[in-house]
Amino acid sequence: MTAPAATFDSPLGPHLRRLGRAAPVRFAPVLAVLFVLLVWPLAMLAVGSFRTAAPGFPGEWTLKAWGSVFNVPAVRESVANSLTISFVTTAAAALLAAGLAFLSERTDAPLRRWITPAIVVMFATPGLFYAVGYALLGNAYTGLFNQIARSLTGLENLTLIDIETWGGLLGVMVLKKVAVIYLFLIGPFRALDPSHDEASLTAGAGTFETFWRINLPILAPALTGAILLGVVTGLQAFDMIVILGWPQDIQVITTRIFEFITVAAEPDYARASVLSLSLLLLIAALSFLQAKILGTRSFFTVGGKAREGQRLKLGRLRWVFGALIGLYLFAAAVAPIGSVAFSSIQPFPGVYENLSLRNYAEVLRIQRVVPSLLTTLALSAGVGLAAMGLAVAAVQAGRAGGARTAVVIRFTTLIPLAMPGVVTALAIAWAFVSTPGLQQLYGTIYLTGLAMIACVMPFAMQAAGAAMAQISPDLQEAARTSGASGPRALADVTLQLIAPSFLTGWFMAAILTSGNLDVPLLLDAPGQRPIAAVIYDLNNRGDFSIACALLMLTLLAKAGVGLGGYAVLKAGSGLARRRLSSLAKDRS
Amino acid sequence: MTSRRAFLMGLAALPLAGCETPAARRPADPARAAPLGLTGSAEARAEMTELYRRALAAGEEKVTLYSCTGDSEWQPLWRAFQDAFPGLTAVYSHISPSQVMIRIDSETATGRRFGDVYLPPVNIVEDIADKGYFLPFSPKSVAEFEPRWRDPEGLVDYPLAKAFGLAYNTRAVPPEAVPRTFEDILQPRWRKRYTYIRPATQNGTTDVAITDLLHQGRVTRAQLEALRDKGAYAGIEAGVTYVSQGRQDIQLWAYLPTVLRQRKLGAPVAIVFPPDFSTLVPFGAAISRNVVHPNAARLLKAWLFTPAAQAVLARQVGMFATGPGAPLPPYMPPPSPDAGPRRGLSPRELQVALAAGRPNLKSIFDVKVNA
Amino acid sequence: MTRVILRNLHKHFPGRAPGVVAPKRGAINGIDLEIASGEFFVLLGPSGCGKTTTLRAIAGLEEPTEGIIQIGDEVVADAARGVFASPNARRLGMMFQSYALWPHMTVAQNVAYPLERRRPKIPRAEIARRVDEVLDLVGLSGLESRFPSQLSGGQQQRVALARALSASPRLVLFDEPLSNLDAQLRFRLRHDLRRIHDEAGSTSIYVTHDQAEALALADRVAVLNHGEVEQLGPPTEIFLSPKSRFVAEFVGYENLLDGTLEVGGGFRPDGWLRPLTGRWVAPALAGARGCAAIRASGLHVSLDATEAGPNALVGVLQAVTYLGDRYSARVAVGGQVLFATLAADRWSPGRPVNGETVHLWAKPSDVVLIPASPEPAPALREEAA
Repeated sequence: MTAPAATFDSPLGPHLRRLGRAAPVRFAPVLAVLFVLLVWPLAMLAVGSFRTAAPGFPGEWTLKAWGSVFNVPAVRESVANSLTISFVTTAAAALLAAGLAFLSERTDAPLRRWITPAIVVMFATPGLFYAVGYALLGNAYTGLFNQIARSLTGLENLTLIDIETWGGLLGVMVLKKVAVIYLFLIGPFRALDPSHDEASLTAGAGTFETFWRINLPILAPALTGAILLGVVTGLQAFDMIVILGWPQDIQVITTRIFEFITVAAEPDYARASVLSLSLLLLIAALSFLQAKILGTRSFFTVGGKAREGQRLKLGRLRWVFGALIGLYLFAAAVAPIGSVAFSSIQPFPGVYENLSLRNYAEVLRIQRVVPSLLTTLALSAGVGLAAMGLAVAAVQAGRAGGARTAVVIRFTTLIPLAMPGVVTALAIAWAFVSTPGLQQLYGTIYLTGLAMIACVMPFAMQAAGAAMAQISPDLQEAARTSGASGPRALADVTLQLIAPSFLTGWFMAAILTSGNLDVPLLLDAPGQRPIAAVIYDLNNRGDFSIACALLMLTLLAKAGVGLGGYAVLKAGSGLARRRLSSLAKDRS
Repeated sequence: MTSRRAFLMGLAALPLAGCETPAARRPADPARAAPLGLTGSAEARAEMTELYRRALAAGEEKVTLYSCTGDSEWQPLWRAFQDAFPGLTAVYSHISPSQVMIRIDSETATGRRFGDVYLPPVNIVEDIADKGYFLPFSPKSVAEFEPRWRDPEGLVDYPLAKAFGLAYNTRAVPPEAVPRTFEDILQPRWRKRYTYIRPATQNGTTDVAITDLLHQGRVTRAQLEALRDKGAYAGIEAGVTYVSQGRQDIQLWAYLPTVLRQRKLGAPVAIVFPPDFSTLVPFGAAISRNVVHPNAARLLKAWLFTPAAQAVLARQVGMFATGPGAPLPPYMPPPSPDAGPRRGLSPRELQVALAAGRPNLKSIFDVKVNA
Repeated sequence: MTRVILRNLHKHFPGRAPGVVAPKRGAINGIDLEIASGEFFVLLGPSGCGKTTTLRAIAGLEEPTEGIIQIGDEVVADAARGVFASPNARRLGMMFQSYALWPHMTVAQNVAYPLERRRPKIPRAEIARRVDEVLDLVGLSGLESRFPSQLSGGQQQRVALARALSASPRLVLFDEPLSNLDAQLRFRLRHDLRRIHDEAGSTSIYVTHDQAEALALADRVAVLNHGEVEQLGPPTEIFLSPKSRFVAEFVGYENLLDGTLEVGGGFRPDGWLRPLTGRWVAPALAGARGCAAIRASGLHVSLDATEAGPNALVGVLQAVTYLGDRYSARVAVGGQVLFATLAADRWSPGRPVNGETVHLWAKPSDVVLIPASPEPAPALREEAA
């Protein structure tokens, strides 16, 4: 009964070497794809840091960038800002996310059922427009919130919230980051063995003591993983800072890299490369630290049969927590989306006359919008599927290929995490431009797609790892001993059992891809501009209302696809359950 | 046999009959196809008709153009082009000034070619020309343009310039209080209340403006340093938006089409063109050496210099059209004998002055990054 | 004094689909029990009978739908008055089927945890001493700094026991704690459990589906069926005098013969010509339906008619299985198959069975006659088969 069901420290956890050692050969294609997609561009990036011109173009070798970049006070300032933002928002978001996950999964707090859907919506909302939503809501000038307060109180200069400050920026980033961390914690929270809580309760500990002393430490690997992710995404943050940090001139590593590439009079690729590589090294060091701290302690949890009705009873406090959840849902989901929705019927922020749906008609009249929506749909679906497929194969390769393979794969797939999307796109462009054969992809939608796969790979790996961790290797081994080949066993058992998780991962990866802005800004194929870039253009030009209308349309489209997918998932999970039970019957 | 094939093709085309796509309106016989509503001199019209027919005969269906202005802003222009030349589509790719070189470099290196026509701003056009990326082509339609907009070698001709003036929030600033000179803007009243596009970057608007002003002796380094210390930077369109939203009172060298659009939507923003805070950033049209649709590309370049295209540019897009007798964009006053931006440097002089003045601008405005 | 009283205890689980009225597995439907202080009390029953739910209700992990639970003098749950003490307020120890050892804590930390929760606070030194003592009691000294994942199943089980006992709870609850262990280990730990219960002096309530465990451990046993107490009594009574067919079957009577009480006191199984003489566990009238329960160990096989005793029958030998100290024989009698015992010296391992005619007999005291229970339990028959 104490069979390990899930480990959280790594998707490639404890089941290494169980399927024998012939694996590396079998998984060679997977490793090759990962290499071309992730390692080769990184190598090009490294090459770029030593050259005066982009790889593939005539230039000279130089060490100048390495020597000079950190001597620039502005760079040092932005490094400090990045670290501050990253750690502060992560600490706050991790606490909030853990608390919400706990309330949602383990207690009887009111409104708990709304948490996960709301957070999925937040996750699906691209950061750029999350920021836009808040900017429209909480700026000190035309911010809806402040204007409502002004008209209610009659005070002309009343400013209740100014989102475009350090505090506002951090607050908004925390709210957004909670979504990311929460989604990584929710699985582990669900898998928590309720008997651990019960043992603590019967031992005399209260509900919250149990949370602190039992749940939280057991979740340590998952939590540190999520925190690491939070820190990494914090170091990567770009869009929010560009939008909300402007009035305070808040610059971070990524905006500095972006500046080196696009704003400076001559693109300074070498220094951009140096900064990117430094970021990667920092993240590698953090990963190493996490592995070191957790050491050999990989916590297994008993196959989670979390029974409904075993939620912790919060008693009278449940209303307090319900109110807190409500407040959070309002601040994190209702307010920004409401703000975008309202802006979409306003002619212009701050103008309260002539509210109408005209913006929607207008946006659809723009020649590129409909083709762009279709391009985005195809691109997102394709990229999501490819990324999840590759991730499952990579996790499987890691499981089968021995500890060293697993570590290599894990680190490889984390590479894009360390690179802001702009840098990933750049590195991919360099890698493909300088490689004969791969050159043929340049300027096509396929290269855009490949770069997006690279960007979404860390997420896909996490999703695939979590999905695969639910599946005991025994099940696959049982298929092997029943005479199935390796791929056959994977297809017959594992893939079918992870189908619901796979579909969810696919959907999420597609959502992330549809919001990806950095890649199309650099790599879009002529005439095939994804919708995020179109929205960005509109927003950039100050056409907020039309941008908001388009944003609402894409949100609705995503919701439609999501609900459709959910229906499929429902049907699918019934199927999987039947398969599981028939499998169990076969084995007994 | 042939009649049967024609019948089948007709069947296949049926579902498309309702669609107004240029491909569907493609003339059946290229040799006799005629453009619609051509303007300009007889030679120019003949040249374009010939190019149009050759493009159709060569099976060219589209022409891809790279520039750095928001996609939808150009829409009226492409629509006019497509209306004039049924069967041809203008595909526009918005590529920022810093990225366009990577794009062209990469297309050249990989042999994967897409861009036909480039329309870069004056501050980067020379870099591209230096790499030999342009094909010479002097259309007949450009013949009557002032020499400053024409290139004797036919590599880059300038059909338009983006117009920039001073945008102000009409709720915060009464028209009579609008600052008109450097002396005005440096008053304490405007401290941190105005923005402008950051100089010494790839977005060369302010560079062009200041280079011009320095050349005319209208501004001193001390004034520029004061300008830097008392104001804030904003993006080309963000700045106007900030004024519209009331976050800032004033945007110097503000982009006219953005003001037009936001004003139309009801935002409290207006624009004036005082010489100190107005400028024109010329955009040059050039054929790519990697051109994929050589006839359509030449046709597009030629057409941009026709009176019809010039009128669309000025009236509907809000650009300054360089053609002789072209209408002015909205709000822009007629040229004054005094000075005004159009008395400034020609594009070629600007390029030289920009390159020469860049270190100077950097030393003033790019303090943090290059210290 | 830590007695435990359950009065009219009900627990219903909401059906998943609305309109489903069938009782859910694990529901309890009116349980009344009084468990004496210091008693080792066993709740015995098949899975789904409600025994675990009852235990969890006592622990405070389930809130009763109806009824009262009293631990010591304290009413910890009274559905009617809305009283429900949380588990941590009940001062008890519990051992879980899965052990529920916290994987991030060492053995010592696991065991110390309940002690650290006690108020007023126990001094550290005292906690350490107590941990040593309890680990010593369960035979785990020296493993204090190990993590649960580094222990064998038996060791984990002992840690769980030590943790349940460490804070000297007034009541210790056991939820099938031995079911994950192999037979030999289970046998040893069973004895340890009883010894430790006797030494600790607390009240113990133990849930199991294993009748042998109940026999070895219990002062008293309650057999549960469909959320109700089917029979309550000391183990000997449960095992020797099951009050219903269900209990008889559950406590391991291999031969169950339905039949009718004849005038004169004999019991004639259906289809038989001759009645059996036996021991009635409850008074019954002539003509009443009932059931004869005979353990295989009480039904003897002779190859030779002269050796047969009372209740003699003739049958055909179908199969013989060697059990080490004796043989188990399958014999067809009339249309029925009975399981019986063949003495070790009457057969030899490997000897083929050729449909020999054999003689069966049983002492009347080994033939338990049970008046028919009002309702049979069809679901359970399936499970026993």
